[in-house]
Order: sequence, then C-alpha cells, then structure tokens
Amino acid sequence: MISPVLGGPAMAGSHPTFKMPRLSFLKGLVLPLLILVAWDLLARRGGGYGFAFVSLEGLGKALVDTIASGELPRHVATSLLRVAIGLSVGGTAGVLIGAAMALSPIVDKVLGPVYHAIRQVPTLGWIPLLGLWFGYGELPKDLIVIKAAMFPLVLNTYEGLKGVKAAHVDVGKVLTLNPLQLFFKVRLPSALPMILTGLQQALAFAWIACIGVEILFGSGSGIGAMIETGQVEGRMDVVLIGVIFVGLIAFALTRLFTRLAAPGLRWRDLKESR
Amino acid sequence: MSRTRPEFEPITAGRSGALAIRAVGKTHHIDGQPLEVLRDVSLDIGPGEFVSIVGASGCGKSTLLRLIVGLDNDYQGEIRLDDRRILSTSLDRGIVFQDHRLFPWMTVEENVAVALDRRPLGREAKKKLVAESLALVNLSGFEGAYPHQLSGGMAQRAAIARALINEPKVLLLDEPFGALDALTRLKLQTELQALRRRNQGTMLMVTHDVEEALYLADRVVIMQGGPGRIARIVPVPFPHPRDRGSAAFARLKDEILAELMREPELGSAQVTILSQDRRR
Ligand SMILES: Nc1ncnc2c1ncn2[C@@H]1O[C@H](COP(=O)(O)OP(=O)(O)OP(=O)(O)O)[C@@H](O)[C@H]1O
Ligand SMILES: [Mg+2]
Repeated sequence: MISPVLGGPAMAGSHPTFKMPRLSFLKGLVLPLLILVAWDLLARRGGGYGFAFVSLEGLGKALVDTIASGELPRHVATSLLRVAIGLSVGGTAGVLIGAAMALSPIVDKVLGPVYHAIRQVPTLGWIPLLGLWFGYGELPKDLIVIKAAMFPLVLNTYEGLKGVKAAHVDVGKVLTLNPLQLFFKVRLPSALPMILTGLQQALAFAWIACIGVEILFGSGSGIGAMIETGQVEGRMDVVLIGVIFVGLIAFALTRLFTRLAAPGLRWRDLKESR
Repeated sequence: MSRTRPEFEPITAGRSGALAIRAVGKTHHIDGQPLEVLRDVSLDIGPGEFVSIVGASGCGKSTLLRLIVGLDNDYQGEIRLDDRRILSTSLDRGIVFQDHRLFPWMTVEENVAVALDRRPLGREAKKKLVAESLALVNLSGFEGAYPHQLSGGMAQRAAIARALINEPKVLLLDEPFGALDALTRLKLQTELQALRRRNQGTMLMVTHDVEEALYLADRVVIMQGGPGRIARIVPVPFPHPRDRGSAAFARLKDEILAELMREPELGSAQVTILSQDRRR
C-alpha cells in the first residue's frame, strides 16, 4: 500500500521557510566579520601596512575619542540635517513639479526639456557653478542635496501619474468624483508605489550627494568634512570611522524607509494575506 | 419575425428610469482614420425593464454603454434618461465592467464607500449603507479584504455593490460575468435576478451568453457590426423564475443564435463602401 505522504498542513518542508530570514541575516554578517578579522591581521603585521590599516584597537580608541569630544555626533547631526533639508525641500518640490508636468500638458512642454537637460549633468558637476554663485558656505551644499533629492522624485511622480489606468479614472468619473477627489482617491494612490520608489532613490542620492559635497568643499562640518579633514591630517582612523558611519547610516536610513513605506503599500503585497 | 422598428413615442412622465436612445451614431478615430462604430442606433427602454444586448465582438456594444453612462459625449443623436439629455456621468446611472475595476489600493469596504463620496451623508449613515450593500451581495465579513485577496466572483460582487449603492435609475452591465467560471456565473445570474426584484431599477446588460440574456432579460437586442446597429429586438415572454431547460427557452435561444450567425461576413472596408453608397 502507498501511504499518503503528500498533503497535510504542517509538512516538514515548511520549516526551512520559517528559518530563512534569520539564517540570511546571519549570513549577512559573515562577510563583514571576515573582513574585520583580515583587516586586524594586516594591521598587526605592522610595517608598510600600519599606515593604511589601522588596528581594530586603534579604531575603537578613535571612536571613543571622537564620540567623547562630541566631534562625531556633531558631524553626523550636520549631515543628517542636510539630508533632511534636502529631502523635505527637494522632495516636496520634486513631487509638485512631477505632478504638474504629468497633469498639465502646458507645464510638461515648458518644463520638460529644461528638466531633461539639467538631468544630464551629474549632480556634482554643478558644484563649480554653485560655488561661483553662492560661495563655499552651507547654502550651495544644501542646494546640491536638494537637487539630488528632487530629480528622481520629479521623474517617478511624473511616470507614476502618467501610468494611472484610464479604466480606474473612468470609474472615478462614473462615481462623479471632482478633479480634486479624482486626484487624491485615484491618481495619487495609483502612482504611490512609483513615487515611493522615487523617494527611496532620492534618499540614496541625497545621502551620496551630501557626503560628496562635504568632502569636495572640505570646510564646515558634516561626516564628509570630517573624512576630508582626517585625510589631510593623515588620521586614517578618523577617515575610517567616517566611512563606516556613512555606510551604517545609509543602511539604517534605507531600513527605516522600508519600514515606514510598507503600510502604504500593503495592498500591493501579494504575499501578505489576511 | 420582421425587423423591429424603434418606436418614437414620448416617454411617460413621472415614471423614472426610462432610457431613450435616439438615432445615435459614433465614430472613433484610430491613428487619424475615422472608424464608424455605431450608426443610427435607436432604442427605448422602459422604467424597470431589463434589456440585454448580444452581438458580435467589436460591434460597438461597450461603446454604446460608455455613451449612456456619460463617459463620452462626442456622438451624434441623443440619449435621454427620463427626458433629460445625458451629457456627463451622474449617480443616477451605474455601471459594472467585465473586469471588476475595483481600486487595488482600497479595501472592499473603501471601494464601495468611495461611491458615496459625492453624497451629503454623515459618516455613520455611509457606514450603514456600505454594510447593507455588502450584505446584499453576500460579502459581509470581507470588508477589510483587498481586491487581490478576492476570487473573481467576489470581486465582481463588490463591483456590483459599488454600482448599486446609490440606487441608480439605470444599471449598465458590460459582460459582468464574462470572466467568471460557469458555476459562479449561474450563481451570480440568479443573484442579479433577485437584486433586480428588490432594486426595481432599469437594467441594460451586454453579454456574449445568449442563455444568460434569455434567463434575465425582458427583451434581447441583437446588434450587428460594421458599423454597429440594431438588427432585431426579441421579446422574451417567459415568466420568472425561468426554466433554462424548457423547450420554448431552447427554441428562442436557437433563433437568436441563428440570427447572430447570419451576420454578414463582410470585412469592415467593404462595409464602409456600402455605407457610403447608402448615404448618397
Ligand atoms: N477608444 C477607442 N478608440 C478607437 N477605437 C475604439 C475605441 N474604443 C473602441 N474602439 C473601436 O470601436 C469598435 C467597437 O468597440 P467596442 O468595444 O464597443 O466593441 P464591443 O461590441 O464591446 O466588443 P466586445 O464584444 O469584444 O467587447 C472596435 O472596432 C474598436 O476597435
Ligand atoms: Mg465590449
């Protein structure tokens, strides 16, 4: 006789899928740990490597020092504030401009070519021009970050709103929604996944632009400025702490964003059933 | 049976839900090329009547419903509801499409409630109406589900609830059960029949299923393509509930199918030439 081996709700095969997330999280830690160990070994061998590779001990000491002196928190705060300004100002402007271009053919014709022309120039390519116009203080740095955050949102808001299905708009019209209701109940939610993708890009671009512009300007505060100063002064430990924090903060921001955006996209998540 | 001529009597005043379609013509443009989709379509539908439209694919059935619901007012002739010319969409006309067209970002409850956005009702009143209309289509308990979590039949039920919640004078149905399996379709046909007894509104349903048309409708309108016009109108004399298995039902079904098959096998180019000849 063949016993029924198939079926039954709690199959052994379902266990690995439960453990997967935790396993992959551990796997994600393997590589950084290996690199740290290799790093420390190279640093301890001294000689020519000592300058390029700070020992983990030295790094730890520099970390404690920079935190105790308030230097690291100050730089981190400056960079985070700059990104926050860039995202709120640039993000708002980006969504508004993208929406205006998508909804009004006239605005599209007037702004479209300018937008695409400006888009072709890499963000950091604007630095010399902005430097000449606004000097090398905080304003041009903020402007660069605002620009970096704005452009992906213009594009994604535009594409998202253009991609709204005519079938859905028709339903809104059949229900006699006015243009404002049609926008907030139909067009905007339909475009939201695309806009959030744009926001995620804006976050990444704004962070990169922020660090980049701080390094290039070299003056003032911010993690980029800290890295630049460390390099000039030959403080490899400070440079490294800067680089590590750039990565960690980018990682944390992405995680935070995903968390915050998830509820707004619940309707789209096919895996998440009631 | 001879070709039924459209009647042109004035509509009885006071009764509501009378639809008068008068000499309606519609020309679409595809890449700048005109395509005559409807020509001289005239049809009177009485208050509370259920009319079904059958006809070959592409003969302009959906186009006609779009004109009636008010999504397109670029056409010749006129369409009147209770003697008022239809110029745009209005809550006194509802429509159910073949694809349910629920908003995927809204729950079932929100999808139905959005139909009340233009009604000056309080929050509680709206909530009550939504619950009632979901109960009417047997969807109680699924208020919080998103459309992707529903079966095809359930989604179509939600779409029907959304279309009926404002108690429209006319409900238009464009192949509402076309995408469903045979069993679900039979079930929803019975449910629609029951809804109709409650609702008392006028209904106009496009379908490819002659049996469905005969099961539900008071009259079946047979449309012919290239350009779309009414070929024949067949009254359905059977009382409800109808017996799909009866000999008379089968005879009428065969008759309508034969009429549909008789459709001239002309390419649209030839049809255009013919129609131009007739115009001169
Ligand atoms: N928006 C449009 N622009 C141009 N042509 C259109 C448009 N909508 C429909 N048509 C054309 O009009 C004709 C009739 O289309 P319609 O959708 O009304 O047919 P139908 O009878 O509903 O067909 P089916 O039974 O397949 O749904 C078709 O030839 C189609 O190509
Ligand atoms: Mg159609």
